[in-house]
Amino acid sequence: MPAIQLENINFGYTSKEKVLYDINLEVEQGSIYGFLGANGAGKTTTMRLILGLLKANEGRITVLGKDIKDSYPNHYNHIGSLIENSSLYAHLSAKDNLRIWCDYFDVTTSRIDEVLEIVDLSHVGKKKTEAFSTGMKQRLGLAIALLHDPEILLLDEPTNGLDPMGIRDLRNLLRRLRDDGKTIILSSHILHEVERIVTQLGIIKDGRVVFQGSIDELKELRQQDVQVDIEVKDVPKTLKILGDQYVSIVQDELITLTLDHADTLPKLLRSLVEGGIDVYEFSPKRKNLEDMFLSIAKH
Amino acid sequence: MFSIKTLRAEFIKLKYAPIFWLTAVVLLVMIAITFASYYLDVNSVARLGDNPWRKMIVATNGIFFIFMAIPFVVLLVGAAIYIEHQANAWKHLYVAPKHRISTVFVKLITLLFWFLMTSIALCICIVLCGYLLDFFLPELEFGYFPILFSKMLSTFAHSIIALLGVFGIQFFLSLRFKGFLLPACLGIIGFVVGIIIGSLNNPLAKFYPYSYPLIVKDVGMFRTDKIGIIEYGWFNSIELSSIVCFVVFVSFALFLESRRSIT
Repeated sequence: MPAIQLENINFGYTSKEKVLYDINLEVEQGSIYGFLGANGAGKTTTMRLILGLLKANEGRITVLGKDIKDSYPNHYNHIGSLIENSSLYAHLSAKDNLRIWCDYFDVTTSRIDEVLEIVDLSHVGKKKTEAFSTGMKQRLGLAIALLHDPEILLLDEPTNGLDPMGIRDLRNLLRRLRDDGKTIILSSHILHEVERIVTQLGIIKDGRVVFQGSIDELKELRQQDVQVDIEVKDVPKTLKILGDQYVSIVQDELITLTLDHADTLPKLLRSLVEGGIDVYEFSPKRKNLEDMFLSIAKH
Repeated sequence: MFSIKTLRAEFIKLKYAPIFWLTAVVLLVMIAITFASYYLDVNSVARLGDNPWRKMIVATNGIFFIFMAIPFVVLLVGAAIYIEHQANAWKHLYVAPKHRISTVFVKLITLLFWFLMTSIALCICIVLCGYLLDFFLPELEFGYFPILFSKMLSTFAHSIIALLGVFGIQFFLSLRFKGFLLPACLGIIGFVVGIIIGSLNNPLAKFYPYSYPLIVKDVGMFRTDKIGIIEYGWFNSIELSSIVCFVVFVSFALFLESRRSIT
């Protein structure tokens, strides 16, 4: 049973203008699902639909196998969320903020110290949140999301406003939560922030899911469309050996080839060596994951 | 529908919030006005043989409900709901395992309770003020006559019921508009127009909720004989209109909140 499933979700803020088209997502339990896309692609809208803050025009959303329309509002016991910036009452202390949400989620106040410990804010529990830095506010927002110990965490751009150290700490925290069996859906527009921790990926572009799979599947895509720079003295002879099976660009003694797949590289090098070509440089240029993400998400 | 725990959460939110101080200021101002009006003009207010509590209750009730209660409700409701807008908290409030209507309804109950507590605090202040005056001006005879608690209760109850319509309208406006200024400005404009209409002794006042606290009972400040208020024993048509207005606006607000998209 998937933790969260979206089936054929269509949504528009007005009847004339759709922003999500046939969204199908399946988030496995115990996974960290990276939901990626450029700004305005539809990530936050999708998150809000999962939370019921917006109502889908068409389609079905299930949480732990139950349609959210049927299980409202009890399904919120299973979900913790942090949508964009955290919602904090600035005139109150961190503990008072948490005390409020304890009452809404029917949680005992003894849980407050536990979650403050988890997000490393125990030392500022009595401090008013208006004096908190952006990173501290985000961590407190995460503490609120964790307060009722939900099975699923929905985190929309949780790294917003965090410095590199804060991002690293958050990453470590999410790993720990995953190890505790939580399912985490994490949206971001920056792949390298999440690529080290996600187990599943979904990429959304202009309201459509254009990629869904594991990080390994994305890496497999990375093996395709490889470019290689070859520096040789005898360019005409090299081109003759290569024939017309590769797309090539020649600049002085440098030939740039585009290959369909990285598996072709050894065969290519072998054919040049066996053809008597002196190869001075042979450097494959694979797209990194970020380039892959950008090429999927933007084009 | 109703949860004591969420009620407690609502009160935590009001801790140290502007309305906490606003309430304190309103009570202090009322004590100061009452004390000063008696202390500075002792010869005209002292009536030998009359129970001075009667006049004090009517006068304090009149000052509060005609000139201060509507702006207070406008600020109280606006500020309490603005706390949620400012914290961008709806996206969290509405993902708690409670029905949206329940969440908003508890907020309304909290505000009504807060207003009721303010009114009770005002009654206590009236009593304290009377004893203070008795200490400085024994000729006013506050210590000689019994406190008219039933008169106090009845007078305040009529005024509170007459204010419910404004409560409902301001609750609706504050939920619909994200900022604090617009509902507050509309409320204050409504209040000023309400004083004008209410003081004209015109039947139009029957249809304008912001005039109701002025006309619900004759406190000797405005004539109300031509408005056409119908008495039903203890109750009157103004109070009935106020309750209807409250129910309509609150129901509409709850209905819209249950369907609102949180963007």
